[in-house]
Amino acid sequence: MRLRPGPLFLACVLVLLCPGCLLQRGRINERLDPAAFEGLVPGESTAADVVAALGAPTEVVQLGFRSAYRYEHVKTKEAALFLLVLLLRGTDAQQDRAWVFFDENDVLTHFAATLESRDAEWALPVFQTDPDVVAERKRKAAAATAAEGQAGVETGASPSGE
Amino acid sequence: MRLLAPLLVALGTSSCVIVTWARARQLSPPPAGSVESLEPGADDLGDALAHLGAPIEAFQLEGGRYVLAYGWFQDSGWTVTVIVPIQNVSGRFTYGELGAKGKGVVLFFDGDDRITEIRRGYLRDILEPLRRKRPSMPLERPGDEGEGGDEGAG
Repeated sequence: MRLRPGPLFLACVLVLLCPGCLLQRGRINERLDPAAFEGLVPGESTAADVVAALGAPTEVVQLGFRSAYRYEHVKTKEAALFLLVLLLRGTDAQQDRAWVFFDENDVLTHFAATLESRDAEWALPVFQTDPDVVAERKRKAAAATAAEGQAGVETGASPSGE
Repeated sequence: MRLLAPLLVALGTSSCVIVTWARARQLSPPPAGSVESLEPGADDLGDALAHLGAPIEAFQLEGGRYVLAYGWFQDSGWTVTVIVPIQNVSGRFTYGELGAKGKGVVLFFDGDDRITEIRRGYLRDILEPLRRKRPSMPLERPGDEGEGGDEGAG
């Protein structure tokens, strides 16, 4: 007589194969608000105006007699699945960051913001989006934005106000 | 019943052998072609920010020069971890660990915000030598010579 695996046995195997899965999210600082950059005018805005709009910077850097402030928000997503001896793990950390540059008199000369924290993905290795696909998606999105004539705060930089 | 044997083996070794398939991504590279569009000697800070967005790091060098660094990290790989009990201590051997080096682009600027050089490669290799040579804070602004002090013995 040959034994056939019953539903209970299959259920046990299924449970044994999935003893652990993990979804973990990390965050550093608050998201940067694109609207906060709209009032910044190179050549006019001062360091006080920038702090009033964006809050306290993450870092202040001295560049000779000039200075630059860095703002940062990081979002990390990690997914893992443990199958007996096999561990699948995917980690994605994306960032909103902005730099504002001042002259010797603390007047804004340049600023740029890159807002990508929303691109962070939950993805196990088998399901993770190919980086080339992500790059192509971003390129198309940037092209669409440019075609609509919108001011690109996310990748834009303002020239010196001199 | 044929399934039972490998299942038991897997169950028996699950506490001392772990096979890991991991993928990690940290930040994203700038849009394709954006770095190539920058020309040292011609483009400046505004052009760099417009093409590449916000850098991940900025710091000054000697002589009023400074750098902006852009970096990202993408990697995937297999790791086999074997945990072997040795007397009362667990020895742990790991093979094929994921590389932990991020790639990037570093832009060098002169005191007039003009790009002087662009370097590509592993960020750690480019930035570490520069960090060791960071200048100290200047004590006086160019127009401050006569203020507060030392008039000399004239």
